[in-house]
Amino acid sequence: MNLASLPLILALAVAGGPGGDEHLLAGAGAFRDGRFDVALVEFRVAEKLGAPEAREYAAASLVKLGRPEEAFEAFASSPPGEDGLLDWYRALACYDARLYVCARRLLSDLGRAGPKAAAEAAKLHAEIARVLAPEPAAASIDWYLARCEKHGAERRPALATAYCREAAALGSRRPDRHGVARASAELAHLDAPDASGARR
Amino acid sequence: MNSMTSYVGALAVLVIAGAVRAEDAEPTQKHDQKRDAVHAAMHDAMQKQMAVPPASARMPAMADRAAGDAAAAHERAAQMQQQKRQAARQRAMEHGAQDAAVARGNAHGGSQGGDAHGGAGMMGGDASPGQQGAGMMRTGTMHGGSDGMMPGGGDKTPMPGMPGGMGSSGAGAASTSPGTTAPPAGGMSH
Repeated sequence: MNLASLPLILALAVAGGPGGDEHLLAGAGAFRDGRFDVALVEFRVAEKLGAPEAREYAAASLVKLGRPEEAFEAFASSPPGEDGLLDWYRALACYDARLYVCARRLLSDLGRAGPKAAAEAAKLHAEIARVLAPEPAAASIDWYLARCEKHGAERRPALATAYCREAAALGSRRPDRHGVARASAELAHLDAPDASGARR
Repeated sequence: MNSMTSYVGALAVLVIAGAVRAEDAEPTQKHDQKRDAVHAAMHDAMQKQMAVPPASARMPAMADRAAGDAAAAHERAAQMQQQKRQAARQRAMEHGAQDAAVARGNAHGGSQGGDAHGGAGMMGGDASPGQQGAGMMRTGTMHGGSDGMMPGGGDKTPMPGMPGGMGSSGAGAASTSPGTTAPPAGGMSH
């Protein structure tokens, strides 16, 4: 390789070549066909090549692959509200991670995703309402607190924050406010934006 | 010569990089169209794959607790069933022992009195099935009578002091007897 060709390669890389778009398109095709593992690889390559939306598409693929916590973290890098469809997948990541309060908040803001999304959102909303209807059990709140502490120790602040926020929201619905103080104390140590867009 | 090549190379790079930058700087319709196509393709794909997850929502720890409760209830039911079976067996064994004692007493009395049929005579005309069983014992068909008295019909465990092989034969009429625990008053005296 000629010494002179090195800057050329660097210049092309800086310019953000069309490779990202090609991989995004390939990923979209794989996603459409239900080959989510292939889609994830394509989106990750596109992300490395500088495609800005690739990370959220990869997050959607992670949701479909049954990896909601990773999806949640991938979504956490950008705020919700930009794209209704992506917010649907964001809500699914919360739902699958048992972050039902988070999912409900996202679904209630889901207005621009089209009639199909609205219908699906209504179904999911009903399911979440059913599970959140009774007073939360102390054991459930303890489970969220344990997840919060675990992810906090693993330096996964977005997830830790989400679980602690969930624990606080559930605990505040009990007369004894079980776990609220502990969740607040944990949250004080964490300063990460929630993927649902809510902040303390 | 070497430095000349490098100079020309660097110049060429600068020209190309400048061209690329210039291409980026102006709003390239082509690029936007491609981005729009990517966006549309992904939206189409996400719409197509949009579905509510099949798994129903469950609060954590509650599901585990429910499963634990179900297992505990199952275990309790099994224990209660076992206790009932044991109680039934115990009752049956007590009844069997009592009947055996009656039979032994009758057999003893018969041999002493020298007339084993004496008891049967006392039972004449009594239609009670239990007494029929007792009567059969006195007449020597002890196995048949005992078989009928053993609830469950399968417990062949020899009772202490009872004749071996009890309940193994003589089903017939005796096996239809529901058994008895109240021997006729006259039977014991013989």
